[in-house]
Amino acid sequence: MDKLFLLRVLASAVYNLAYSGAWGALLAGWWLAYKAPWELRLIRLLRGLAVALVCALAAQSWLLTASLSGESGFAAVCGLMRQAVFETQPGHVWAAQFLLVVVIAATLFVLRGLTKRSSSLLVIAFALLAAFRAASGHAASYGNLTVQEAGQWVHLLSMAVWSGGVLVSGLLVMNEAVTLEVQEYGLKLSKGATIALAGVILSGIYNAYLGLGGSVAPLTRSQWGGTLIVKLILVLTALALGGWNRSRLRRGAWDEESEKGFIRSLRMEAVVMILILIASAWLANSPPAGEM
Amino acid sequence: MIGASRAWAHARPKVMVPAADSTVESPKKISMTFSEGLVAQFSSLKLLDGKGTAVGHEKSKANPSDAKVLTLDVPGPLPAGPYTVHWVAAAVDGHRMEGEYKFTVR
Repeated sequence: MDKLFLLRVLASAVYNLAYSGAWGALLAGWWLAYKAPWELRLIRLLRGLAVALVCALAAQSWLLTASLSGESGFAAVCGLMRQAVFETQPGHVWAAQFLLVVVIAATLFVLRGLTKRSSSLLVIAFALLAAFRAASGHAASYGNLTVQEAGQWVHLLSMAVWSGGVLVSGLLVMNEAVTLEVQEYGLKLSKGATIALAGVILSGIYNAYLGLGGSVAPLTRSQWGGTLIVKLILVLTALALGGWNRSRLRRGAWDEESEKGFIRSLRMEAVVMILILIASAWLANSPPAGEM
Repeated sequence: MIGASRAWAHARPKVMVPAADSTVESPKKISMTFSEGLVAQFSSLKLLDGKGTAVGHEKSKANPSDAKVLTLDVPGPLPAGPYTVHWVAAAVDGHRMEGEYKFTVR
């Protein structure tokens, strides 16, 4: 397999995980009412994720230049980066994302803790970042400010809210379950995930329709279609785990066993989310099936 | 929204002048229209003769009014024979495709 393709997938996967994690941290802050010690823990997490975003985007500028120019040698690509970034439309969109992420990272290192006010500003900044992201992928081929880009923006945002909420809750917040009202937190998470899921499904169907060129035939005949099937299976697995946990949360009786089962399922769902975000990175870097 | 039928795509050739596999009088210009807008700085057309040698030193140009079109001026009348157009299309989604097509000058 092409080494540059794998590097592009890796950089996109790091970006996806960090971006979703950032939304998860912002949501966890809200659900935990920005109480100590979470306001500090979450700002530290956000700083780490912002640095990961900066690194992923820096790598993507080199990979974008390699992709546009067809060069693969390190020095040859470096020599063309200035032209790719400053003189082309995809380069300008990349630069806008990079500048925004640097500003977000710098702001996070200045903030002393996550508050309702700082969270609101960060939500706007991360939503804007998704808009730039939507303008740099396959949807960009339709032109600027199109319905296709809007669909991709909704997909990126809803996917990040759904996966990020599960990731941060399952892999970080639940490590401190003894200090929490787990059922109450779980109900907030479940409500947020359900709203985001509606966006994921609607925008996902629309994006799949565009990517397949209006026909389901390429699903089984292309790498893009095969990866989409894998992603769908993973999404259904996450849905099943989330649905099971939702019904557990809404049952009247809640005891230690319920809590352990909830946390176990949530962690499994978080692992599935990581796989979904990697599959999304693979799809974003593959030629859509509809053109094959 | 559902009425859209075009797939998300990298730039692919839609219209070629002269047409692929056609036999024509010597053209003054080669023109290709792609399915998507191109990044002009990294897209190009090159004309090769039957021996695979580049014809002329002209560089292809982007059409300022249509980002999907690339043209290449042909230097003087071409001798009869087969020719190959090698194209490189870097699309605004950041992906690059290349290929070639043939035509014959009578």
